Amino acid sequence: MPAWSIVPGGENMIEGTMIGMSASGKRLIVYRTKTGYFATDRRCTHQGADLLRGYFDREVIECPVHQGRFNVCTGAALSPPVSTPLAVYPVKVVDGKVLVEV
Amino acid sequence: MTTIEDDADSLDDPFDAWFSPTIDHAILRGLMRRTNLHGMLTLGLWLLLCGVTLYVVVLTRHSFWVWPAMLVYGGVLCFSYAASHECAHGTAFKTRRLNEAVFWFTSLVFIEEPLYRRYSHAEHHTHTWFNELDPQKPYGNPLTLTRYLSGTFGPTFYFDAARQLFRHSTGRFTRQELGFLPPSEIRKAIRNSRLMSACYATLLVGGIVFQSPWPFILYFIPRFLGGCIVTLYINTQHMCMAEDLYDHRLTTRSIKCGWLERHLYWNMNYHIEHHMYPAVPFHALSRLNGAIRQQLPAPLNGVIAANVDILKAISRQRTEPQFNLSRTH
Repeated sequence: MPAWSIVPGGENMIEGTMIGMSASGKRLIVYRTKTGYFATDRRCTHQGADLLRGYFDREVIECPVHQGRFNVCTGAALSPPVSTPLAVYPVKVVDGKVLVEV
Repeated sequence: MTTIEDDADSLDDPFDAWFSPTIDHAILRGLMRRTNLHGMLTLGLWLLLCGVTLYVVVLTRHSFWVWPAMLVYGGVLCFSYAASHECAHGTAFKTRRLNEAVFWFTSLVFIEEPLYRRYSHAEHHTHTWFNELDPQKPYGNPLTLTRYLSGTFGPTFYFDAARQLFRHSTGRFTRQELGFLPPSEIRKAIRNSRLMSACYATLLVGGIVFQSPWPFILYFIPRFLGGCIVTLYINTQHMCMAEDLYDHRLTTRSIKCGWLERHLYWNMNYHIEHHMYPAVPFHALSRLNGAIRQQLPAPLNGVIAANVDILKAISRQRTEPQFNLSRTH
């Protein structure tokens, strides 16, 4: 059953930053973009590299090893060598706290 | 329970098996920043040099000097390899469409289908210099002088590229290729290969039908003659280095280069650094080198010195087949 978890330090995130977190046994990344907060899996769907070590620009996270790109808002795989989308999780802000549903 | 993590926290990342130097992650993130300016200046310099050397080819076309002129022009033209490689990583330009347009053009010049190249190169980064796993490892230890000479100065590349393009155009892929090309991309790879084959065939047939020497003078002969120059640089990347190790310091080689070489080669002389951090664009590799150089082997003094070293290693491998040039200092 999915549950809402607080993103530690989420309220201090500025646009263009990301943080890694663990909730309900899952490893996630929470991103702050121009349009709000988003959350995805932390592991690349191509060969499992750690996306938290990747390059995050606007709404795109890029794998640090092979440069496959994902849209962090939708999880869509944007360019080879990634073709499988990234899992995304709902995020909301309540009383200044950032919450992710995992 | 919820915990905050940073990128040093283990994710059982399969790439953690590789040796990784110590570097501040904030510095590394800064080095990954993309720009359009650096790519445009580097591409512009290459196009300018192509134009100037091509002009000399045209001026000398009725004399013996057209041959050395075509060698120089072809040498410059074949550095499209370096532009295509940087675009394959998506790090040449910040604007993605520009990156992809230049990727297509430079891959067409160098004769490598871009989609296949992107996947095979990704696999090269996953399994750098591992026998049987790295699809961009055409040779191993011990290397023979015949293989070195034919691979560097002979028509090997031309034949291999043509054969591969024909194979992919007809929908035939090896088992290894099918291992890294997702089924959803195969149709696109076939379409691209056919499109590229049609371009070369049009040039070739057009030249013959219209009895025009220009396709041969402007492209085919210089591409053939000049290929050896960029291949001398490509040789320095991994040739005669250690194999089957999770350590780019031992399987990969960086070399020192002059200003013009570095720009034509899109800084790929910092090859160890590139393999350790492929998300760092070419223009930031010298700064990356500055941050981690104490943890890397000293680079060899230029492309000639590296190739001389390789030839010495080939000679030694006749009696010591496993000899390699890896160093950690």
